Amino acid sequence: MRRATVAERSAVPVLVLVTLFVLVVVPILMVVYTAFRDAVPFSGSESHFTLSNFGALFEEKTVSAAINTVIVTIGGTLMATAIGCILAWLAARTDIPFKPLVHVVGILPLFISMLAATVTWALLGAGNSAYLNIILADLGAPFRIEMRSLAGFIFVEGLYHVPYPFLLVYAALSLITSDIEEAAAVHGANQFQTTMKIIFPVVLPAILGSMILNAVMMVENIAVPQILGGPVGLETLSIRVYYLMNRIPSSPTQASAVALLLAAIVFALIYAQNFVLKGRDYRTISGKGAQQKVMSLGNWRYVAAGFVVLYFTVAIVLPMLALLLGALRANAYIANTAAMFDVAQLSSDRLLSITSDSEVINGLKNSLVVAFVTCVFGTGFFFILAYIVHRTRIPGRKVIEYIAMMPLAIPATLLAMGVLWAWIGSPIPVYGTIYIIILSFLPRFMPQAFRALSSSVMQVHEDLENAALLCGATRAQTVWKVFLPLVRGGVVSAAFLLFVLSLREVGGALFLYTTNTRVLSIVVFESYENGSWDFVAGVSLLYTVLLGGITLLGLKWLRPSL
Amino acid sequence: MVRVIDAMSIRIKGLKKKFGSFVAVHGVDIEVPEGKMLVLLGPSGCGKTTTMRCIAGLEAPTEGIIELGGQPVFDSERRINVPVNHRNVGMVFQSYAIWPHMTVTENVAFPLKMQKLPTAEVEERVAEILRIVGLEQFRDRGATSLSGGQMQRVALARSLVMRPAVLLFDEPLSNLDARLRDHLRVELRELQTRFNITSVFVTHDQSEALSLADQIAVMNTGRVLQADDPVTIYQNPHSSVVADFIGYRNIFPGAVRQGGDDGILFALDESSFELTSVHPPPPGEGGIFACVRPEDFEIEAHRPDQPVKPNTFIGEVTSASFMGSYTQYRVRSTTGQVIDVFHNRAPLDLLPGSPARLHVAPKSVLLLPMRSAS
Amino acid sequence: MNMFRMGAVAALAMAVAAFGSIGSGKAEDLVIAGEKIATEAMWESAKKEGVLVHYGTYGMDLMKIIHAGFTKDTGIKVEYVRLSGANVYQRVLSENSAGKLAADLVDLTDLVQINDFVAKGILAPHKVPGFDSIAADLKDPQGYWYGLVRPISLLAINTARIKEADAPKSWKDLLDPKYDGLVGTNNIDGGSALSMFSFLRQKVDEDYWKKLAARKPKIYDGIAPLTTDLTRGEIGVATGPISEVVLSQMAAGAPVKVIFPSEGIPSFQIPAGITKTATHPNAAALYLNWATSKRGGDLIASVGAYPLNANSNRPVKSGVEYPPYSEVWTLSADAWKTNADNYRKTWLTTFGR
Repeated sequence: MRRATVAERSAVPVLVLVTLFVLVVVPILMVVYTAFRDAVPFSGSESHFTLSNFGALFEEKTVSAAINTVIVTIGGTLMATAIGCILAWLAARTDIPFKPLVHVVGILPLFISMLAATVTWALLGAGNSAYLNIILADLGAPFRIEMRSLAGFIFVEGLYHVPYPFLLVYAALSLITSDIEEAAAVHGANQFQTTMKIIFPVVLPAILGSMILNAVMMVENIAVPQILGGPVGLETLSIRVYYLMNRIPSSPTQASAVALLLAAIVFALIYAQNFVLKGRDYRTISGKGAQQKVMSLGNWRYVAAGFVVLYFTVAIVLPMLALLLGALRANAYIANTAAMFDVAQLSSDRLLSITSDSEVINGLKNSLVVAFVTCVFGTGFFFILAYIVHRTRIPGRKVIEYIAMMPLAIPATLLAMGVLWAWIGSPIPVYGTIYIIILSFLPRFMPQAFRALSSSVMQVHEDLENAALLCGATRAQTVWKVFLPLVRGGVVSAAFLLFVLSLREVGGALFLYTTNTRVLSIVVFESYENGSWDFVAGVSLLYTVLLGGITLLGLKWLRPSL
Repeated sequence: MVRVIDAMSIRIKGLKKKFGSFVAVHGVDIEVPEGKMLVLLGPSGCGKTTTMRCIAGLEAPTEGIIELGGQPVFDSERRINVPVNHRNVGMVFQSYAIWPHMTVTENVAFPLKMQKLPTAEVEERVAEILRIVGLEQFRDRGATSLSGGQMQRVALARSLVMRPAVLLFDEPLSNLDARLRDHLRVELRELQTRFNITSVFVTHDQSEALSLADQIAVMNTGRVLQADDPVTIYQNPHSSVVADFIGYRNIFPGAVRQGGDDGILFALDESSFELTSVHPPPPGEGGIFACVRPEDFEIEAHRPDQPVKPNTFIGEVTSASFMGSYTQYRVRSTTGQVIDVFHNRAPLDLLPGSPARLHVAPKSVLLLPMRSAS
Repeated sequence: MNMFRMGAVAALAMAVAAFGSIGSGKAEDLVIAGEKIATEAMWESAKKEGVLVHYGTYGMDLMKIIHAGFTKDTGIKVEYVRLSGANVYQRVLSENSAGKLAADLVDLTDLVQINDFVAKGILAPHKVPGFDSIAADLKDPQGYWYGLVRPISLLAINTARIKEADAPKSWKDLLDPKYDGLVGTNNIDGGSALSMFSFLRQKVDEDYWKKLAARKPKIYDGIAPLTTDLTRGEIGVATGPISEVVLSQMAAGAPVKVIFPSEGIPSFQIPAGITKTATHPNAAALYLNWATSKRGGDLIASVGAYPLNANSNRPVKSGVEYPPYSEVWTLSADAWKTNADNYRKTWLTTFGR
């Protein structure tokens, strides 16, 4: 009978903490540091402490960008939540026909890149010459759609952030089994009271949780203000950061300060979430097939189905058609509706040439490599993190959890810059390679993957592992033979999630690539800046098909992680 | 052939366990001779499960010594802490802890695989143990497709097959329905004695404790209040708290009035009623209580004209429940006590609301302190 | 030797002389189309280096064509990293201070920034052949940088919204109220806008900005949205460095046309220089030599921008020939330095941004 070694117990967490620190904390610190300096680190000029960057926060541009951010986020969140709740309710508690389709519709928008989606809505509704407006003009309608407005921002953000409320509210609703409702009825509650006092409290955490998740994503979003706001000078804080970095005269130090403001907003949101939910995890496991009361819709079935179809059409079909049209038109001028569909003006040359374009192919290769490595290494590392945090008594695991969730509060572009500044001076030659992009993606996706893996880990009852230990297995054998087989589904799901998230990431790669290491999303983003609109549409289309295809294929595995 | 396992004794000395500032176990000394079954009995939060988990190695005590077969597996002073998987301790969990992704055979074979035994031996021992617990026809089934009772047998088989030095049971019967519980309890005891495995069994159920144990340790708030064989504990609880756990439902606070050759007079609080008992209370603190088992009351209808013997309560029946082999009455006495009575002869015609009289023999009245001095 | 043979040898020698001027692999000077691009020593070293890493701001599509021409002429490949002006600037500074600057050649869109590079010792001077005859506006006096590519700003119309007959023919015309609601222009941020607006203020009308601002044109933060909106007919007339894009769209059938205003065409330069820490300095120097030669200039002109060398062909794109070099106006580096900041501020105030 040997002693337990202290070394065994402290080597792993130390290694883990160091890796976490380097991955997450150092880039964040670099950004915080830069916000208080008057010159960028490693820029060849001496930098001094200053608070002037924060003074820039009160400039009119920044203030109005902040106000816009708030308006858009609130509006978008409300819209996404409303649609998501309706879809969830239809799927969970009514007899709407073709339920599996409702599920697909509710989730699919999650994996359309916001960049591509915004491009399509620019084609559809930005300005009088947009597709929808041309049709409206020909129809003699007195109004036009203008997506280049705060309303437009809200519309696009709201439309494509439906999946999170849908998934979370659906899971919560499926916990309400019929016996719960029957108990209420038997004790004198009518339908309204049951809804308010029984159903609503169960669902509320899911609604609030998803709202905050969405709000955080919308605050950070860069594609919408770039494409819909740029032409009319409508800015949000996220794009303000980008402009401060990318426009002459550029000011990365000010950008750092604005990014800290952004981070502060996100922190506040997350704090509010914790406060409201009081530590309850809204990511509840969905009920396993217990009997549920299903409301019969009667003739309203058609209205309900119509609503689902409408959402699907507006969010997916219409934009895809617009993208196709944009990619096939040789030039962007459309005289009228007839001309829009005039086949003679269509040409598949550009689209086909894109598939053999060396930049595109290179971009695709890079994307796949980055996604694969991120997925493999990320899943492994985050699994270890989740296991340490939730299944061991190792001291310091609360710190690990905290660090793992930190990147939620940091906008992608700033994390990327922090990664750049953190690694450029390092002797390890990652700068200018694909690996630095991976080093930016890993912390970026850590919160989501960690959370998904955590919930898998927590679902395995501790006794199952204890029993193995008592049977003589070492901790490693226990994880391998007992634990992993039980969480396999969750692990695969998280791996797939990481893969897809990597493929569609733009902001996290923005300052880290060189010509050879461009990923496909950057190819799309850059094509926008270069002005060849048919190329933008074409590559966006390709990109969307790729992303959508992979997502659909893996939808079954992905569900648990969302 | 199954051989009787070389049993090991358990010795626990000065066991303390703190979780942060909360003290779960205050200093517990326990000894379990080889081949004997110790039951830890007490309410939730009394420290019994924590104590057991310390024996298993799933918790590390703050202080104390734990020895199995004379060898320390934990010693806070000498900084010994043998890891869980090296203690050769078996455990049956309340949740069964059967691995859903393995068959019954794979579950049971697991500990032998961990010992890297040759396949032939593993197969033989697994087959044998499955026969013993009566599950051989389920050998290739997915382990969680079985019923609760069957799963618990798989858990037991898994522990038994590894010939553990010590076998621990953490409320293993709580999740089963009543009939199954009884049945399995008897089986467990049979197997334990047959294989002569030193065992510790945790429960909050008094009748389980009494029927299974060679020795019962009654625990409360992290301490062992009394450790004795079942009969002794049942007949001679040392304190009213222990008495309460062990089936003395009627506990009346009061004070000793006087002692003498006729017996000890005990005046109940807030009334003029006096009970006569035989023995003076043992030393202790927290006040003195008269403790009477419900089956020690004789109940009959009360007719005011009939003379009343001493040690007789008069009262009104507030509920009567026919339990099959006995009838349970609850009586509210005129002197303000609520008394539970088990009447195990033919049922009487005593409906709720009727007057009744309850007599208890002085020898059945135990005067006990709340906490005993020992 | 008989006459026939001598004739043949002579013919052969002349042919070799003629074709040999492309300098394929022989140890001699690199001469293309009669211009000496590089000495033998530089040519050999450049060939050994074999590749050139260029961080630049000019559009990918167009730059690829220029680079392809260079590779065809010299056999040296170019790796191009295209970033926005601010990004190239930041990136070079970051990489340089970490000792990891991977670029051999860098270009920017802002003369103040390139001079900053000079001051920080990031660039190495190099005198191209014919250095002295290059206009002072287009080079650094010591040869640290050259304005290799000079895109111009002009007007462009969508002919479906504005008939050609009604189109503005001069910068002054643009101020006509009849174009209200149809005009789109570039934000001041880029170097191109600065040169265009300097030209308008200095050469056309001192109060041009105020007058234009009063017409409330749509202001765009980039060429892409500006030209897209022009092509789609969202606006009727656009100004800015849009010639390349508009002409491409025109070639693809969009109803757009460029107009070279009568007062002249402002150009801005994309100054490029060799880095001091270049791994392929000879290849980079070769590139500078090539780009500033007539030959290189011809190629640059073919994508729709003026090159440095006024002897090169006039730019022609999509069948449209650009005005002669004499009509091109350049903002000098000094003027740039003096005016950049305060022009920017004034512009922002004038246009209310």
